[in-house]
Amino acid sequence: MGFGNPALLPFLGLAALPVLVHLLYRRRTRRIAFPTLRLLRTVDPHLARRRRLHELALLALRTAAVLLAVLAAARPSTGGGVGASSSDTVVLLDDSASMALGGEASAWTSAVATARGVFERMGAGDRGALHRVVAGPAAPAEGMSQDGRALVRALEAAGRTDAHGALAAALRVAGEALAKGTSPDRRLLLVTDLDAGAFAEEDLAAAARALPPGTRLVVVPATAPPAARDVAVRRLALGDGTSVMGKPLRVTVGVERRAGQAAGVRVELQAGREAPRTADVVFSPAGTAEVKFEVTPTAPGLLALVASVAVDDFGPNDRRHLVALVRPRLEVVLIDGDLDDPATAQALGGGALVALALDPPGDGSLAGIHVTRVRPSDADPAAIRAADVLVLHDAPDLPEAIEAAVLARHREGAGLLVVAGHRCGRNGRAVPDALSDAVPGRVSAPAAATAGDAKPLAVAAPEDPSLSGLAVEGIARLEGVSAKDVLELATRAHATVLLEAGGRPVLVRGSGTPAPSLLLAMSLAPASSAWALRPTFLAWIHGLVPSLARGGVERPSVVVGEAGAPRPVFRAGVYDLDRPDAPSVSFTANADLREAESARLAPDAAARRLGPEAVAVTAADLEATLARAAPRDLTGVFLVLAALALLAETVFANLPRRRLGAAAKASLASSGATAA
Amino acid sequence: MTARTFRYLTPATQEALDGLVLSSRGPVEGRIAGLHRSRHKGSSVEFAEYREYVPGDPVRHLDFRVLARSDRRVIRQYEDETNLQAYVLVDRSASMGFRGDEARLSKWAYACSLAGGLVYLLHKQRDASGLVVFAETVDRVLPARGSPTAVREALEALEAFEPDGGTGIGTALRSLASRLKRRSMVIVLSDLHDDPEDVAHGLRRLRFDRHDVTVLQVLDDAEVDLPWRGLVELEDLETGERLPVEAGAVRDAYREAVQAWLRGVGSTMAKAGVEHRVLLTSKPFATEAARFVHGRGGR
Repeated sequence: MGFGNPALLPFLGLAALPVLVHLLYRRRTRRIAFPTLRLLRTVDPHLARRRRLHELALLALRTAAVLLAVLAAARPSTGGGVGASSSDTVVLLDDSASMALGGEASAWTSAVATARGVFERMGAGDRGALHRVVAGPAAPAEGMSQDGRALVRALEAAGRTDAHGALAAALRVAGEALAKGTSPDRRLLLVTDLDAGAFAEEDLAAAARALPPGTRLVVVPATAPPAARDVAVRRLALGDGTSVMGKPLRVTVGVERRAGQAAGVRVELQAGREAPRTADVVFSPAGTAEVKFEVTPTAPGLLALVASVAVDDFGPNDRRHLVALVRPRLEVVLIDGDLDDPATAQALGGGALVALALDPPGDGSLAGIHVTRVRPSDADPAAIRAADVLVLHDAPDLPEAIEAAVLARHREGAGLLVVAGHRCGRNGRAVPDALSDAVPGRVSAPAAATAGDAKPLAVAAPEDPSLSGLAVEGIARLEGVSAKDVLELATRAHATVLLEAGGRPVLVRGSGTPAPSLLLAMSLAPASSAWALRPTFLAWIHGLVPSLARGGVERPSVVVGEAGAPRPVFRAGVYDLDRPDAPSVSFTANADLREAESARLAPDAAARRLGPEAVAVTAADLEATLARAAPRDLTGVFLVLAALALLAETVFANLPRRRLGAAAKASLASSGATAA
Repeated sequence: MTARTFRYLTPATQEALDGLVLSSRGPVEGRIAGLHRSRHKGSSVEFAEYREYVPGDPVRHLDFRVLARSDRRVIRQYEDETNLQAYVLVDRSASMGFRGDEARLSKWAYACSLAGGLVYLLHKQRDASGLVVFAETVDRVLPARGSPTAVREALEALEAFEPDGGTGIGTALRSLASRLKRRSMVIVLSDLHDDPEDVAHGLRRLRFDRHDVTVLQVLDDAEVDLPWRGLVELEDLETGERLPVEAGAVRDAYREAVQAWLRGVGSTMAKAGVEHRVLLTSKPFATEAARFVHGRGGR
């Protein structure tokens, strides 16, 4: 509550007057010796107590009347601070990449419209400022401005960004601007699409608490215009089965018509980098429809699926996101000189991958691996040229055609994972040496690195955070081989080497060099197989192999989560999936990554993240919310209350005469009867 | 010789009372023939003492022998020369000390003046008068005597007391009843702020012995009307208890309560065969005494 004339507030001390009068009156109460109080007692036995209560009530009423009269003279008002005839408003616009979702009806468009409405409503004396979460203050650069038109122009010139902004820092900057304002009625309007990642900062509440005192923090969700949202994507789901690279994946898009008789409704499905597919929607009488698509993933890893529904007259409308995990499809050729030995698979040094491929764990994690097992003599060079992994076991006299095929893959720049196991070579030489002889530029493998007795060489896997730690550890454990040697090998050989160090698999790859054209796997113990078969690892491997064909890994794969983990490995947020120029996609990884929904907070939940004082309102209700915040003159109310207090005092002052008189008559009736 | 003046019997009072005769409402027992009817015949006259003649005394009462012999003017007085024995009981409880803002006398002073006047009147008509001063208990008893010193002693006794303590009217009445050997006139001067049942019991005791009992209830106008304005704190004179009162608020009810109380007292007195009169201190006590005398059929 504020006061238009606060200079009168000191006169509230006049409220002490009735109290002083009361005390003086009590002190001056005349004491009279009286023959007997017996008759007075018969008039009212509770006379003294009633008298005291009566006095207190009168005192309270008189004090209240004085207080209310003084307060009324001070022109009280509510909804603003002291002297709140104007307001300071900072519109903090979320300009992060996620605001672009929705095209013409995007959250950004809605947010700009909301901000424009706020600035256009600025009255004389009001101050405003436009801040952006990512780009910072737009207008003015510091403090507040009274020029609403300039703020609107700055708003029109503002654009969204492709970055992820720090909301807490933006709140602090906005708070500094508000602190430079002059009005105690401070408002900070955060217009955002409620992206969960933006509200995940730990110091968000602290930043909100640091706002200037009295700041009203209002979260305004920026959504598509309601008029365009009469149809919605109700469901986006994958068909049963494991998503495997190269195999068709069934995607079901459920659509519902929420209002009206929208016609010309189309569903569009964007799967990864493929061209979007569209289908017309035919609604059932219940207003629902399901559209099925088939998508064939061409790469392992994560596949972003975006289903949107559009209406002819309104363009893109509602949309829903889903991230699917596409498991790798590996063509493995196992050249085994001891094909008839059932223990071969288990005995393969470094062949645990293959071993598990032959005896899959049954959880679908190896669903994309296809193994062709042949004798060395039966090996088909053409199959090798099409393979992703070549496993050699007990093949001391590898046919020259095989070696030629491997080298051909290398010369073509195609990738091939070669797992050279026990007693593998040609003409008495181990496979690595043989290959190194054949590879231009020569591979300078340490002398100890012989077939069947592999040693760790080098480590580098910067694009896979889950491996980088292991890499460092592996280097530290190298014996007789310096890190320099390892890097030299990886650099000069242009190879990525999968080795074992300390019983754990280690990826060896040159960093900052052209992509390896040859992948060597040596001495992988079976104990490492579980790790080696983790989906993330497989995805990495298979993401690397096709990239070899293109001459290098242009962009690292994105690792979001792992199957079977009790919780997502990575925190929910915005991850750049596959196209640098594409809108970032928000998603939350769940256990099996089959249904990762768009992560947008509910408005109230977003407000709670900012603290108990923050409130969330819709853009439509924003005007009413701000209107309620406007000062409301309470002078009349206080005058009426003061008059009522005076009236009550008058009535109450005369009340005892009547009430006590009635009590006395009742008492007399009984005492008179006794006397008679 | 200079005649002494008494606080409760001024010459003006004497003058006002001169010519009045207080008579008994019924037969009384006396030793000589006098103004009152007697149950006994042929009572003797016994000389008691001489008294200095004071102007106003009937000349016929002068002892001319003494005058001739010593040139002294004295009057002969006789023991029990009347056939009326009267006792005046004066309540000196603390409540009798009350004096309203407008009153010239406190109830105590008013009662004492009235008692002095009655004793004087009785003496003047040669009746024997006694005095009882009481509060919670009987403080002083002057036996009824017709001698000229009886008036002086009574007046001196009244001047010796001040209002104090509680009220024990019933006790005083019963004590007096046990003393009285013959039928007498009993005049009680009190505000009757006491237990009504106890008072009634004492009165019935006297009436049982066929005494002529009169209760002159002395009240102040203020205690009847509660005339104050605004908030006053009333302090009970006998208990010391205090009570803040918005006088104007309870005045009407209080007046009605007082009237109801007085009606109750009057009813009790009437049932006991006791004459009851309410005397307000605002009225001159001489006038009230005259009215009382006339009311009893006196001259």
